[in-house]
Amino acid sequence: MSMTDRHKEVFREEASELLVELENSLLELEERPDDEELISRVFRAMHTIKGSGAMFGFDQIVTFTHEIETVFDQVRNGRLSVTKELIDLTLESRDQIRQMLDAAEGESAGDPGKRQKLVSAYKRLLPDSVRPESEEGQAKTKDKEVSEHLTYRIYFRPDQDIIMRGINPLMFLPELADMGECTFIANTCSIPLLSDIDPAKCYVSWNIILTTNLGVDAIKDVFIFVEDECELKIDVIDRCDPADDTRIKMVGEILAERGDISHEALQKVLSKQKRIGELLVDEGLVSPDQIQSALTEQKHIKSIRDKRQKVEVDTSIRVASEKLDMLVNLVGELVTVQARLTQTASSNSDPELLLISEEVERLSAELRDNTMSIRMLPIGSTFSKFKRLVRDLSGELHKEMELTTEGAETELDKTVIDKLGDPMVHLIRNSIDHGIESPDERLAKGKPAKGNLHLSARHSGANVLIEIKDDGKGLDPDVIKSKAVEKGLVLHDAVMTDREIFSLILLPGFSTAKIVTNVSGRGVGMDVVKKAIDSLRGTIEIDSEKNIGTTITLRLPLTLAIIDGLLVNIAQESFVLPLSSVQECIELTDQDRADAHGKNTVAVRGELVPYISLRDQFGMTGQKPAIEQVVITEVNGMRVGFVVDHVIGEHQTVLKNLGRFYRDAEGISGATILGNGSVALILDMQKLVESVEKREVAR
Amino acid sequence: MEMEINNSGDVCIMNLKGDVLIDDIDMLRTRMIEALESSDRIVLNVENVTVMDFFSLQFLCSAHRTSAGLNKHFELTGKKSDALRDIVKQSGFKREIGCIYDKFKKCFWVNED
Repeated sequence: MSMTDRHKEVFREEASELLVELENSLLELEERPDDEELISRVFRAMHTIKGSGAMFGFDQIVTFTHEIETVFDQVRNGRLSVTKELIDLTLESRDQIRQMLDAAEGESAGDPGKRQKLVSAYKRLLPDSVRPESEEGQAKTKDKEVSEHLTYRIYFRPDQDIIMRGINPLMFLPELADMGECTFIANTCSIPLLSDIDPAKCYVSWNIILTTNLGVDAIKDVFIFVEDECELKIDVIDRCDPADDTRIKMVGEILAERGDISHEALQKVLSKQKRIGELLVDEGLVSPDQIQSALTEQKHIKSIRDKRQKVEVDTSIRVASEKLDMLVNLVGELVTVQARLTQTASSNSDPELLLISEEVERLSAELRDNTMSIRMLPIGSTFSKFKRLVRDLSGELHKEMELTTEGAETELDKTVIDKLGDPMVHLIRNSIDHGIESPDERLAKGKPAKGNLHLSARHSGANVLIEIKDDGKGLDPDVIKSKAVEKGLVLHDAVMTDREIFSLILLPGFSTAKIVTNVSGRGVGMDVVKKAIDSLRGTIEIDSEKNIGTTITLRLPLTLAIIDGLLVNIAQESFVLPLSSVQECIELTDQDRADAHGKNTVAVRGELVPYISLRDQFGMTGQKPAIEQVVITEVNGMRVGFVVDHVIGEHQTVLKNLGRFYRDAEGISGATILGNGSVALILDMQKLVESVEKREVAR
Repeated sequence: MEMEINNSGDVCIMNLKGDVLIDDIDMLRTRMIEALESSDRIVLNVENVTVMDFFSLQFLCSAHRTSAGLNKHFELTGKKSDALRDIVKQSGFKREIGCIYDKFKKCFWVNED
């Protein structure tokens, strides 16, 4: 990849992030149209995409973005207000930019016809006075920009009668503040005594320190209306060069540089011990105003440099996720080798080797934790994607909706987050389509017309719980059960709890929607969601109350790369059960079997728990021990035992995928390499239970 | 602008209410000169002021340095009012050291938040 290609790729990544931010800002702006910070954020996003796009030859994007930027510049300056039409247009434009970004080089990007329509619509929004300015205006602004950030010292003394011309002397300050980092201080020493003051005269002058990438001409333009009636002096005082590590100038130096005192006078006063400012004022060499002004300048430069340093310290680097995956794999290998080293060291009883192996164990554990933390991302980015979805869907279905979120900072493994998007989209679609009632229906029930969808995330041990909660009509257990009976999924007289009934909607082909919409209701939704969550080793729980709402809770592991497992043995072979599902281990004797009268159940403190003999399940031969072990787990809300020969103990398991040939092996979700180099298969307990259930039903 | 003046011994308390703008300065100036002639201590309360402009700040500076020149005390109360804070911020009056006339070290704008 050439440097140019690499830069283009970086631009695409950055622009993608900006588009996400833009979308969020637009959606927030729709709710708070007067929020100046949001307006600035939208403007900045467009401005940055345009600016960087121009550098890397994304001309179509530049031309198109320029139109939006022009409109938002007007909004920023209060000449245009934020309307629904503007938000709609900009969201559509955002999608167009996305398409242009995604299109490969040379391809026709997006829909040019649609873009043209959008541009025309933007132009119609602009006030007449702004419309003619386009390329010319753009060129003008460019001329005013300089390649680097400079800090200027601006001295502005307006004519005393400025107000008589209808000009507020303060009007220039906000305009300068918009140009960059700006600090200003009023020089008040010329304000006369009460006996002499003319209330309508301006006696104040200003020292303004401005850090900006705009040139002197742009600054002069601010004062263009009063250039003949003011004293204006503009000097560059700092070049903001990152390589410039010269110390911040002392106040005395600033005063001398400005010509407020001579170097000789400064040196003379410096020989005394008081603060330089006080000394100079005492000596009558400068006025307090001049000291104040110099202090302000010193502070401004210091703050700019501090910020720059912080930015340099905060700089992050972008790494391709494949490289991270590779790193995780290598750490996995290292952990395995380290386990072998530990085993060898302990079997050899070599104290020196043991010491080294302990050190390696500590280091590899730290390395593993660090690597895992790199892959952890806050779930907030996933949540924010849904704002647009909720907005669009509620419009499409003529429902009023608000989306609230909580715990956006909760971190999950990148792989989990990547795979979580689709199932969550499905759940949100279902909530809006089936759960939330129409505004009229809601009002009739005494609910607010606007429905609420609440997404929350929080940690729970080694898992993250994600809740999708709506305040809609809720699920009707009777309707669900009768539908399930009709489809032959459950028996008519089956005794089931509400939660068990709700979980029926996760079964393939189950749909209670009377009308199939293009949003949901094709009966392929919830089972797909379940499959996706299963593949993440997660679980789904559904709680619902009629007319109150439905809460769907996804329990997901923090990471897919390493799990805490329980290592067990069956006929000399090792297996790992995910520890998060394990509740306890009990013994199983011949007497226990006899007591169960041939049924695969065991009594655990008075409760009969069904079990699966893994030896039988996998057709393993050999002598089984007199006393077997039953690992009691919770699968799909049900207690199930798994009979093994021996329980070895807890084992931190680095997951390895099974090869292509074994990928579909039932009841096995992966493998891990043990310290002695042998392979242990990781059990998928849910699949094992399902396969046994299927067999039982077939009988 | 509404103004209420209470004289109590050597103290003159001037309470301002409403918008204090350029057109009010002339009247304020007259009242302030009168107060300085009759009292040693003048307290100007701006707590109930809703809007202040840049020219009212100039007036306050002028009144402060005039009172200092006459060795009289001029105090400003209600400095937390939004109207005053906004205009001090917008016009760059906030500072760390008072002006040359601030002999009692009571500049209104020093370390004003």
